[in-house]
Amino acid sequence: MINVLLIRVVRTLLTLLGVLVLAFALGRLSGDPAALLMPLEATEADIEQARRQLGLDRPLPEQFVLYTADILRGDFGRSIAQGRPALEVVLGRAPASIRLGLYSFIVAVVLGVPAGMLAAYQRNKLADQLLMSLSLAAQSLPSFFMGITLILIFSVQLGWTPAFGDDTWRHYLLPIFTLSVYSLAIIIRLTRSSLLEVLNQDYVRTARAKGLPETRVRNVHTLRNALIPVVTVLGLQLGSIISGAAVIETVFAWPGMGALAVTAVNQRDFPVIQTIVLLSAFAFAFFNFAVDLLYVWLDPRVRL
Amino acid sequence: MLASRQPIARLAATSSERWWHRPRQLIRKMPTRVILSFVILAVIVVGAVFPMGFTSFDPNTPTFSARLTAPGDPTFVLGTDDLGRDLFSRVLYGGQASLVIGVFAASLGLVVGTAAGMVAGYFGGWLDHVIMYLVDVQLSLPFLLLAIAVALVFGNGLLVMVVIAGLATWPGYARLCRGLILSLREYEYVTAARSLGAGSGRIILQHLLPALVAPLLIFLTINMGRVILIESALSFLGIGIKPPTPSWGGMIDQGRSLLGVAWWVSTVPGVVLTLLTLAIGSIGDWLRDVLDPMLKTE
Repeated sequence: MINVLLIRVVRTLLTLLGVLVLAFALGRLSGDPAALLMPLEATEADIEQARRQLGLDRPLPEQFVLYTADILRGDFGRSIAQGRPALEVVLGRAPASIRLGLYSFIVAVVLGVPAGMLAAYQRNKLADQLLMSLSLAAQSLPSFFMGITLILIFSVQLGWTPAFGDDTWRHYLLPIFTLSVYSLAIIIRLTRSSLLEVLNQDYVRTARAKGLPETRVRNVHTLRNALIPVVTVLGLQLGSIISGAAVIETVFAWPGMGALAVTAVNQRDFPVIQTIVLLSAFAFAFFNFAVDLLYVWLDPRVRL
Repeated sequence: MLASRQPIARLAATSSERWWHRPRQLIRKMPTRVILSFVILAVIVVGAVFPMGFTSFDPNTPTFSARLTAPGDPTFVLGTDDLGRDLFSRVLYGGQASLVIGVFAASLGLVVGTAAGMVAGYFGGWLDHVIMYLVDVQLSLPFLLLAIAVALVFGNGLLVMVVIAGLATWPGYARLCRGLILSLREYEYVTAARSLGAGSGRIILQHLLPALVAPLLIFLTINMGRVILIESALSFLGIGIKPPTPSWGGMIDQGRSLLGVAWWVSTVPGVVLTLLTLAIGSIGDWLRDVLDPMLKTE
């Protein structure tokens, strides 16, 4: 068990190393960091000196080691647009994103699992067909257009919810709904199919045959096993929520990291983008690691 | 050769017959939703490929006297935007970007991912480790953020968009193909082919690839929808196709500030984009049901 855990940790760290290499390469391709940091009137000699100070005259592998050391110390460079440390700029926007993402995630799970169960138990009946069609549609909807349509209906026409910002609970309704729809659809479909599979197993028939009440069969015997595949996709869904957030935050002018990333592109503020990419990759890796642990706890047969 | 055909047929023929032996039956049994999807797809493709057949307006020429005309106007059927450009013609021309991305980006992902996955699955060893490591690295990044970073570095434009959206899908193909090859290469017909002296390249291309066609076709369809969504999202964020070249994402973005006065500027391209992705999604879903009984959603 400890060995297995260790291997998992090493793999996660290796993956993160790959992400660092990628970020480093993109950073070097994005332009000369020394020239970007210096004022416009700086001379060639000034830039050359800044280069040496930043270690840019050394071979690339050495630069990468320096870069990694900086990142590990929490030095993600300076935001070009704001002049402050990029990490500070990004962390200032993090709480709004985490709140939105977390609530959307909770909504997707809390609604998705029961809806998937309902579909499975009502298989091929009206409720099932409705849920399946809706979730198929939801997976191929452009989320940003859905957000805009919701703003048009509920904010512009009906005036029920505010369209922009994050001040009151009403501000949360539309963004959470929009952001959770995709994951919700995936969770519904997966819960349904995995529950249907479990319901076909011999031990479920045995449980029924020995006269257990249906509620006990459903809640005790099948649900836990049916949820195992669902748990695995939860990890992946976090990624789609982070990706979706970049778009949804822009639609609803949400003061989070996703909207910041979009602004940063237009300002060509690479350090900020890089910080957001790295932080999300770290969060994503950590989350998936936690999901793996949960997985083992749910299903003792599983080896990581 | 006979030895190679039969087991593949056995693999695919979990249902009684192979699907291309009964096209007429297939079409007759096609659900209404799928027929409708094909019709929508056909209309959008024809409209985007031959826009001049349907409109005489140039998508970028403003008619200042007709700014923000509502849809239903006799001249401007779907209305105009805040510069007085005809939305119908912009939607037709805007479809070109989406379809080019849909076809080329999805194909790029298919070729790269399938090649990588087959090589990893067939040869195993360090090649397998390296390829799967790259898959892991990419999948550990929220894709849109990576796309944003790449767009910042390499600029935007159709070619960059094709590459970005194409790269979004390769890990999926790689995993799918690797898994299938791992189980397929154990089959007797592969051993038979090898003992007859077939080289790795021949085995992969002639004996293994045909068995992957059905799952790959399903995946390709689903991914076409995905890459179109990625392109439109990036264009919406101002990182994708640059104005004045019309793209649906860009048009939706443009209409965002006009929601209070002219709902149609965002809604018209948005509805067309939604119809297209819904159509592709339901065709993909149907293909999965028809072609691959093993992958059925139940």
